[in-house]
Amino acid sequence: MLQRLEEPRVVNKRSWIFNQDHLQCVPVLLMIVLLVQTVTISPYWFLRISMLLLCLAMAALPNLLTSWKMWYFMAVVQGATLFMHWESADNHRYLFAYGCLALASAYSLPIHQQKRALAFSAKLLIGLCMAFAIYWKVSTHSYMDGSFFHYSLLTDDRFEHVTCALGSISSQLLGDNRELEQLLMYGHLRGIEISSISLSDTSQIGVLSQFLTWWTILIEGALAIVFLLPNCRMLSVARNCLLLLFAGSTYAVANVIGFGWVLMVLGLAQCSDDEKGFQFSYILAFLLIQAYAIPYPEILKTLANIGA
Amino acid sequence: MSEDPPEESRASRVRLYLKALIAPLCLAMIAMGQIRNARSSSLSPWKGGGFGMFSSVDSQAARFLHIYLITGKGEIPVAAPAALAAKSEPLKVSPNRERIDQFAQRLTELRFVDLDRKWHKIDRQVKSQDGQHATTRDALYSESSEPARSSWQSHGRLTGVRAAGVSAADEVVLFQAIRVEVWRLVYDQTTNQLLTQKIIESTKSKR
Repeated sequence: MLQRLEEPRVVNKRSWIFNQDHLQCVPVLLMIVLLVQTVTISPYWFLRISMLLLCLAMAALPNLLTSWKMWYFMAVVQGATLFMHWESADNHRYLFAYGCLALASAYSLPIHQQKRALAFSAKLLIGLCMAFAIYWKVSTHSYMDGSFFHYSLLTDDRFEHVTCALGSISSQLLGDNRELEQLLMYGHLRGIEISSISLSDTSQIGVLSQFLTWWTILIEGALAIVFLLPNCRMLSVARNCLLLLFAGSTYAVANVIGFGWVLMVLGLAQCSDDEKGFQFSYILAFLLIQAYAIPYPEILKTLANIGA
Repeated sequence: MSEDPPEESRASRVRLYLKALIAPLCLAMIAMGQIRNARSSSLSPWKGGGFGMFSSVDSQAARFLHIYLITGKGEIPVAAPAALAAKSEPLKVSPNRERIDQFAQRLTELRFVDLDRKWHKIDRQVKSQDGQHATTRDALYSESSEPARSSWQSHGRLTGVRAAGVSAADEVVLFQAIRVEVWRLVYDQTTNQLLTQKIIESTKSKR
């Protein structure tokens, strides 16, 4: 008798998360992405103010989250901003606009077709995004020979934690590289006209750059293929596993939060109803990408200082 | 298609897929346009919606401007003025003849003032007034924890300001023309050297 009473409770507890309709989660997560990435970070005042007002309206009136007119309006605002600043806008800002447009298209259809339409759009968006990314990499000589990652590991502060950990080089030397790079670019303002500099390097960084080059080619190429091929059950598992692996590995090295978040929202949107585990994993990965951005060394340093 | 409700007509399914294709088609068209632009002009692969980020050294951060005032006594390098920041970023990312000429023309309309001298003058005035130690601009910057890039740029001896922003304490530098150059960084992995390469330049005379 006791067992009978407890059983449904256990099922209900488990199903609270797993029974959520992911079509309801997608607009909420996309709204969060837009709120954080455009309202707080965007350099364009027009976009910041418009998106703040639209997101506040959605938060106040949750029905608007599933209104195609609202998402269409959001897409138009973002599209207009991109039109005015197309050269300087980052690629994930384009992806935000496409995400809004996909939601607008899906919500303009009858309810029983919405999930299918959104999943179809999301799959193509991810597949095309990866296909164009891989096109650029494969067709760029300085990428294929490992130069891009070699240069980035030596000078880009976003890669510093990886370079120090795996490249046997000190943070001080990487800082010197960046100073030299600045001297090359702006030294003329102080009367120092130079045309080239030599960067501090180690043999391990060369190996690491080759690994990153080919790992990225492999995973982005595989993602482009599986997301652009027609549906089948096995492919669906491969899609989700690869996209989650991509998020877990790529954003640990180069933390581009905006891009990672929108990919996770699109990943969630293309899941089928019975893929509850993957749906949950995308939400976890969404949080993980933010967790990667936490400056752990600085926090530890601050805590050590407080303790001392 | 087995999950389709039985009453779903062919027209309804076609409408579904047509609508679902709108966003991916926009992505594909813009990305192909970006590829064409980047191949035919100097647009950075990182920008323009073609998803070429992390594929090339030639990013926005690896492009930079050199600006020189051409005076009777020679050339004076100046930092890109904050007053034209909105114009200088697109120029770096996608430089072309029309854009660089317009930018150079706008620069000729600015007044270039020596902020170092102005600050030293103010510093001397403060010192002479109260006889105590006053912090100079140089001292302020040496204590700054700002990243190297911004400190290098702000250390440009001269700064361009709009005519309305010039005060009586400013020493305006007279010039005949301005030359603007757009550069990019190039990385040679075999020698492990970072080199510079000029993309385009423009010289405009002051009217």
